[in-house]
Parts: sequence; structure tokens; C-alpha cells
Amino acid sequence: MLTPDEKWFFDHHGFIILHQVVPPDDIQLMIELGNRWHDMTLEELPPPLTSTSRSGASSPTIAHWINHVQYGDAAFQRLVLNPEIMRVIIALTRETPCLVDCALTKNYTTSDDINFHASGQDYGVEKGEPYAGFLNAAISLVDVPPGTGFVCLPGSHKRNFEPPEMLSIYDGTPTVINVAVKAGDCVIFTEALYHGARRWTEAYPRYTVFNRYIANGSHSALPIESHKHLISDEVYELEQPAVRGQRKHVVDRMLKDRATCHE
Amino acid sequence: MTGEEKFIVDLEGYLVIKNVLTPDEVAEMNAIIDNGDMQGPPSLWGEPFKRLIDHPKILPYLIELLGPHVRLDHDYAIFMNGGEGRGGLHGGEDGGRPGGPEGDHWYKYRDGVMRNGLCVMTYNLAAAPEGAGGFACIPGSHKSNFPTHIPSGVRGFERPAHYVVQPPVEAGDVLFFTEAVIHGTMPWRAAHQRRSLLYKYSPGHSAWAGTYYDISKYGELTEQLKRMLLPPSIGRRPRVVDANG
Repeated sequence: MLTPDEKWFFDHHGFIILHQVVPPDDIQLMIELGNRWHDMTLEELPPPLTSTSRSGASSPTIAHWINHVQYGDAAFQRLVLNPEIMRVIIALTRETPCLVDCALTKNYTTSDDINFHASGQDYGVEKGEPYAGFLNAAISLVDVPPGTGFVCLPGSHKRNFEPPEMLSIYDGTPTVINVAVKAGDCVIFTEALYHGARRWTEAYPRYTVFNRYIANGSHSALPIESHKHLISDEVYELEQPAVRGQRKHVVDRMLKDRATCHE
Repeated sequence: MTGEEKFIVDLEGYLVIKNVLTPDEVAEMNAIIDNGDMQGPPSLWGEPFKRLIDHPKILPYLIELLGPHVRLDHDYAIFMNGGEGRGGLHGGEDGGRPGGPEGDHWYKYRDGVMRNGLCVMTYNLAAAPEGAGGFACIPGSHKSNFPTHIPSGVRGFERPAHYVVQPPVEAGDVLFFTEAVIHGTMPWRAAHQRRSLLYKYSPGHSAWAGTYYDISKYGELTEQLKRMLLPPSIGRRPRVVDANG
């Protein structure tokens, strides 16, 4: 389900960019909801939405996020099941994805940089197909020009040495690359890739939805059983633990839809 | 090698080693080239070029990256004038496809130790600033699992790609790369002539070239140089750097 170019690109870089995969109407709706929710206190957020960035453990100037946004509006559920994004997620997780997080993040020019970090090294190639055990689909709701936003160390998902501490998110190519995107683009990256974010520079806030998926098991935070009535059966199933070799019905449906499209 | 250098070589497959040659050394070698019709391997062009084989600033990198029995495999020069090209991107593990013809193009890492097959130390006797052309590579491609999927237009330098890099170098810098990284020569665009001396090394057990060095052509050689010019072997092969000198 990945083209040869996409396999080469993802294997080499540790990320891939899908261009203009979100309908403009949904982008506008998600921004409006983001504006509303981010202005609320923790207690005012409609349950089960919450914000773990406001728990007290995070820096007060961190770019805050709202968790479980898929329970807040159907637009975010459409995003979770976006066919183009899921085409890549299904391929990279060996057809056993589990949705573990949906977070709507808002950056201001006063928000902190995010220095380089990575989570594990669960990346490989099996039977000629790339595989990643922990993926992040970062959907941008706004234009992110060059010089700000997402940065990474391409290839670092295959590293054998940890990067030196003096390596900065503001360093240049080829070791550090900064990925500019347009509203509606999605950057899918393996969490094994060293990545970060440069300080936001634009007058408008930066909105990004981070949908995270794993290929085996679950992170236990989802699904939220008390509020399962707020999400569709397919999103609920996607939040169930992944079991290697066992395809969920939602994955079957998406693969079948894709095959039907290409007949 | 510093920790940062190890990280960069492992991540990108190449490294620019700054200021290996002094300006005087560069000038001396350029003068010899200007005054002669230089043919054959540069290592035979006289003492300044012979000394490059085990230059004290690059030998530690060779030992670290190819092992203690490293040998000089073959060497040649590349001189380019404006507009000249040399073909597209090539190389890569096994020569760019699984089971390919270049079995000595490889990179591996285990337990903190890096090792390579055929590698190159390119001595630059002229600057190649950004955009000048010359050596280019796809950093990180020594670990690519899908090298055959690199778009053909990118391979032929017909269209730019952000992942194809021409590292800028100054005269006197040495550029190390493993032949496992996909690399090539971009058309030369600078006003001055490109002058690069490619000294290619193999681990002691391996050879890319089918002929070996005749040490009788080199005149006086240190014992260390003799060890570096040995044909490939394994059993009882002496280390290049002898603890006894």
C-alpha cells in the first residue's frame, strides 16, 4: 500500500509527507473547536477531553495540547480514519494499528522550543516492507513556513549512536532538516526518529493534531469506556489493543474500500 | 574520532575532516601538478603525495572505520573543468541492489564498533564551495533498504532533491565516505579546476582492485607504509600501526 517511492522515502528519512489530505471544511471546523477548547480551563473542557500538559509537570510555557479530541467532535474521528493517512499507517504497522492518542496542540510565538527526542528504535524492514511499531501522524491545520515547526535528523531512526548534546534544532542540513507544510498536510513519522520543533514565528497560532498509533498492544489510556458513546464503532475498535496477525474489522473495511477504488 | 564524528559517520556515511593539509602543502602539490603531465596513481607522483597514504591526521579514522589491518586499495585523481560531468549517483551497499556486483561496498555496526568495506579519503587540492559540484551523496543511504527505488531523475542529477547533498569543502580538507553510501559527481560549475585525489582503502582481507601495489616503485618506504601497501590477506597479517614502531 506504499508506493516504491514512498517506501524509499520513509525508509531513508524516517518520515513521509502526505499533501493536502484533509478537507478544508474540516480544517476550519477543527481550528474553531481548538480556539474554543484551548480557551477553556481544565474543568470547563467537555469530558473526557483533558490536557495532560496542564497537569503541573510540564513547563508553563509549553505548547499546550488537548487530549482525546476524537471524543469531542466527529471531525477528529474523520481525521483518525482518514483514508490516505490510514493507508500509510496500516502499511507501516503490518496491518495491526492501535490508536493510542489524539492530541490537538496549539503553539504561540511564546511557546517553548521542543528539543530533539525520540522514543525507542522500533523500526525495521520485513519481507521487503518497512515496519514501524510506534507512529505519529502530525496533521497541520495551518501553513507552517520554512524556518519554524517540525525538525528532525533524517535517518536517525536507524542510528547506532545517540546524537551529541550540542546538536541543535536550529542547525542546518543535511543533518538537521526543517519540514515546511501547508494546512491539510500530514507528516507521518516513526517515533524512533529524532525530532523536535522550532519556536513558532507566525502571527497566527500553529495548530497540529497528533494522532499516534502503535503496532502491538495498547497504551491503556484508550478507549475511554465511560464515553464510548461519543465515538463511532470503528474508532472504538481502532483504540482496542493491536494483536499481531489479527486484522481489525475497520482495517478490513479500509483495505476493501481501497481495493474497490482501484479496480 | 570524537563522539560527534562517530554519530555523523554512522548517520550519514561520510565526514568532512577539516584542514588536514596546510596551505603550504596544498600549494606544493598543486605546483607539482601544474608543472607536470601527471599520469597514473597520485601516490606515485612524489613524496608529498606518498605521504598522504598514511597521513597522521587521517590514519586514526581509517583504523577506527576499517580496522587495524586497513590497506590502500587503489588511488587516482579527478580533475574537472567547468561544465564537465562524470555520470550519476552510484554505489551503495553491494553496489546499490541486494546481491549486486560490488560485494565490498558495505557498512556495519556492532557493539560500538563500525566497520566498512571499500572507503575513500578524498584530498581536496581546490575548494568546492556550495553549488560548485563535484562529490555529492545521499547522506544516510549506506543504510537504505530500498536503493533501487531512488527516482532515476534524481540519480542522473536531472532534478534536484533535498536529500542529495554536495558537501562544501575547502582546499586542504579531506572528505571521507564509505562506498556503501550512494554517491556521485555533480557537474563542475566553479571557475577554477576541481582537483581531488581519491585514496581508496579496503579492510586488510579485501580488495576491489584486481592488481596490487608494487612497492619497488615507491623508493623509500616506512615499515608502516609497507604494511598499508600489502595485498589482501588475513592469517598473521600485521597491524598497520605497530606498537613497536
